[in-house]
Formats: sequence, structure tokens, C-alpha cells
Amino acid sequence: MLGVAYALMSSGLERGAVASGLGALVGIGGVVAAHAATKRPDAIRLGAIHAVPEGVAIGVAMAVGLPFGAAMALALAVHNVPEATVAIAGLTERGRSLSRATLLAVAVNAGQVVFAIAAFAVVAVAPAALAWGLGAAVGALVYLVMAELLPDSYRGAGRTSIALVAIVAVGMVVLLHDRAR
Amino acid sequence: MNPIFAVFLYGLVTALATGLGALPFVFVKELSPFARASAHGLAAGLMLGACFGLVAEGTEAGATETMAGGVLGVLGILAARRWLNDRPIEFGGMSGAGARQMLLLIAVMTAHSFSEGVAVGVAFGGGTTLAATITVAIAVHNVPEGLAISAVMRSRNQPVAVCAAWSIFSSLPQPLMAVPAFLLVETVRPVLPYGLGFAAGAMAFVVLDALLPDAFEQGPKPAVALLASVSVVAMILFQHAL
Repeated sequence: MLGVAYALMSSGLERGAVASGLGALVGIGGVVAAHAATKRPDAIRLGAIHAVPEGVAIGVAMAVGLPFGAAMALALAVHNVPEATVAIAGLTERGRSLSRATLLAVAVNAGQVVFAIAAFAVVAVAPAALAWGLGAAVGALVYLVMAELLPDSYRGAGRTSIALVAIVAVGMVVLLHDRAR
Repeated sequence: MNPIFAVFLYGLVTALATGLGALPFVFVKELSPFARASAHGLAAGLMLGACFGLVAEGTEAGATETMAGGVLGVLGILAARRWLNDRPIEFGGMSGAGARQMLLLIAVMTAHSFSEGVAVGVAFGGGTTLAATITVAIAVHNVPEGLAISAVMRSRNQPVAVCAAWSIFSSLPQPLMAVPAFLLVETVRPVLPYGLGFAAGAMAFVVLDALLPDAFEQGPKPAVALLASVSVVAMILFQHAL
């Protein structure tokens, strides 16, 4: 996810540093507000919040270029697998059947498709919004990593292994991004 | 002026600028657990933002080389930590885990200014006439790095002067490395992406292995996350503007 943010931010900076910077602040603020508005945070509700910036990330990346968008979609798809595993485990613990839990997890992430298309459409109409969109996706993703993913992982596993896995993941996305350019 | 001396002098100015990062802590006397967590979050964000710059610059020269350097950087830190763990450490009047962490942080930041020093030297040797501009850019860029070191050291009750001294120390490799890099530009240039990657890998590891988990243990998660995210973005924009 940090790798995705890196790739998006370097594209954003090429298109306007001020706009992508302000966009990033909007993105951070948006997730903070969404968290504050969520009264009972569980895997499904949090997943729905994630789906928004992830969808926007794919949409704006597609607007930058098809290879970049495909790389972005691949990276986020890989990222969604462990995220869904956690969500499904939580649901089955509370008595849902495995197939229903899986369906629900996919349905939550289907929001990504909607937001991807919406972001792509907005940028197609107003190209000036691209830097803002890239920035906003970056801000939201970085905040999600800091506020949710990392603290949760530290609770589940040792610091050193988390650090290693995260760095390897970032490295792979950076390489992927470099190939897609 | 002798060009070699000029490169050294410019590098030294950039190193001294790092000490300015300790300045805000003159005005902050008492440190609550919340302030401590915030300082760690801030340092983590600033360092991750700096990694972004290193990786961006490294991939310009070669993505695979940068990543290979990154793997070496992580392995290097793991080895350094194992080496430190086997020894009784005393540092800044502290011993044990706290001393070890401060030492590792300083080691990482010092290692990273090796690469930056090489970058300065290569830039000068590349025939640029913008020497003064580059120096100012790196000097200003060093201030938040000093801030990161000081934030961690100050939160462990080190005096401000000590924070400033170690901040400057961490940048001393810049003038020392700039000169040989300047003299051997053509030899050094292919190694540069490895060096930049090494620095980024080492820094990212320290952030994820120590600074962030410490911050999350000491203070409220949302505040740490907010501060870290904003400082990542701020550092990236700051470096981009230079």
C-alpha cells in the first residue's frame, strides 16, 4: 500500500505539486472524518471505507495511462486478499457461513469499481482534477496504513517480520511501477 | 578557491544545517507520553518521506540496482542490530534497549548521509554551475532530518545540545564523501543507485521496526497516524520543491 502511494505520488508531483499536496491533505482529512463518523468499527464497515480511496487510486491511475492503471489494479488486488481473509475470518467467527462471508467481503470491495469509474470519469471531464485525485488517494492510503494496517499487524506478529514483509511489498510495487512507465 | 576545498566546504555547510533540527526542542521542556509518541510519529513520517526521495532518485538511475541496494540496507541493519545486541551498550547515560535504539537511529541516518554526500559530489562533478543552489537545497533538506533525530533523542531526555551535536554528526559523512565522489564521478556514478537504495532500505526498516511500533505503544493511534501521514506528505512536497 505504501508502494502504491509512492507510485501515485510520483505521478501526482509531475502534474502539479501544490495540487497533489493539497489533495493529500483532503484525503487524510476524509478518512479521519469517515473514521470519526463510524460508530461501530468492524471489518465490513472499515472495508467499505478502504474501498473509496482504493477505487479512486485505480481510476486516477487509469487516467494517467493504461499500463500504470493495470499495475495499480494488480497491486491493490494482491493487497485485498489478506484484507478479505481477515474480514471473512471475523464474519465466520460470528456464525456466518463461509460462502456468505465471502460474498459479503466481495460486495464491500465492489465499491472500488464504482469509485474507480467515477474517478476516471471526473478526470476525463476535468483533467486539472488529476493531480488532486492522485494526491487525495495518496493521503487516504498513507493514513489508512498508519492508522489501521500497521498497528493491527504489530498486534498480530513481531515487529521485525512486519518491517521485512512491508519493505519487500513496497519494493515489488516500486519495481512494477518502474516497468509500467 | 580550490574546487576540491569548495566541495568540502559546501558539504560542511549542509552538515551544520542538520543541527538546526534540534532548535524547536529548546522551547519544549517537559515531554509527556503523548508528546513522546508524537515525536516518534513525526520522525517516522519525515524518514519515510526521505525514503521516497531516495527511491525516486535511485530509480531514475536504475530501479533494479536501487532495490538490490535496499535489500543490502535491510540486511546491514539486521547485522548491525545483532552485533549491538551481543554487547552491553551505554549511550547518553542510558543502557539497554533505549541506548541501542538511539545508536541504531544515528547509525542509519549517518549511513544515509554517505549516499547523500556521494550524490552531492556527483552533482558537482556533473559539470553543474548550480553548486550553491544544490548546497542550499541539501542544507535545508537536512533540517527535518536533524528534527527526526532530535525528536527521538529528546524524548529520551537527552539535552538539546546533545541532540544538535548528534544531528550534525549524522551528516558529517556528506562533506567527507562529497570530495572523493567529486573526484571520481565516472567511477562512482554506477554505484549511486545502490547507495541510495541501501540508505532507503535501512531507514525504512528502522521506521517500521522501531519508531512506529514504539509510537503506537506510547500514544493514541489516530494522533500518531495523523502526524506521521501529514509529515510524510510534507517531507515529500518539501523535497520536491527544492
